[in-house]
Amino acid sequence: MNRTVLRVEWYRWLRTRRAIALVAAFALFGFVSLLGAKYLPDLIGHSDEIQLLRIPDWRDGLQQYVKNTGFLIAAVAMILAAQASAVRATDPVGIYYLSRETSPVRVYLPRILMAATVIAIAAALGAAVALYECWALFGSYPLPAAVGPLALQAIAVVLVALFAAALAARLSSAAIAAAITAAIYVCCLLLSTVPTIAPYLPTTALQPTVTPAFPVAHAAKSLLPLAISTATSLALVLTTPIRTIKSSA
Amino acid sequence: MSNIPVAALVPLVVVAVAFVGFCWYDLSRSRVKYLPKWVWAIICLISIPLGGIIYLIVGRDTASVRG
Repeated sequence: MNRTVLRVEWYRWLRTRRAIALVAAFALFGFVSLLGAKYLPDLIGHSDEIQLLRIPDWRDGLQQYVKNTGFLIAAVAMILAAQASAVRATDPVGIYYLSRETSPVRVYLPRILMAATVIAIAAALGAAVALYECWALFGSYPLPAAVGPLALQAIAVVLVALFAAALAARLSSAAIAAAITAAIYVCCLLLSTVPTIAPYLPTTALQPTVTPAFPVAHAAKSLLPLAISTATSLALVLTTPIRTIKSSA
Repeated sequence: MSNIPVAALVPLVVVAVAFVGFCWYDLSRSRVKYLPKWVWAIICLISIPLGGIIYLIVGRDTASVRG
């Protein structure tokens, strides 16, 4: 793959401010989620009607970060990846690509790869911020048990974004791809009420439970179906030839 | 609430101020959609970080660089 194409995609992420919005979202939620988990009981705990069951610890802090990013920031990442990967036949650049190129790999792969890279970097940064804030607020904690769910969630966010990006590239519409991905997410939320299905759903991987010992087998269970569906959608978009825009002359 | 560790609070304040500052700087140099600039400026300030994120994703008129 031409390195210049990847550089162009990187500049698109910068110039459209998508990269900055994503990094800021992950970083700020890394700070705010843990502060909220630690000090929300102070704000509401003085009522006679509300009693604290226990004092929040590092697990509650990271669980709050995982909950917030697994829903809100995953949605932001998914929308941005879809926006960055769709080639619209109405845009000047889209017309240029679609009237000259038939290979989906040359058009879509750099876009999808750069989207995955930026989202992975932003998720890693957010996780690092959350781990630092966890140390600053709650003191020392077992690092492997904390890193496990954050890594699982970061991988899940990248996979969901890649799924939406592949859909957007195939449908040439970020809005439709985001709507379909959101609809699938809602269906998974509804299905997660069934205990036998819940461990295999992407929603479990997006919002894993923070426990003192990270269960790798459970993580693999929740990640595998998501990885298969993402790989299928990517294979579909990268093997279907582009129908080039035909001139009327 | 008064005993928030400095090590936890200072990075948050720095990042939040830098982000709002960046959004305002970008707002002053970009064309915007859907709302007037002053409304976007208020949104960026009162809802950190979501206001700024919504402005950067939705509010900027990026037709020339979208691709």
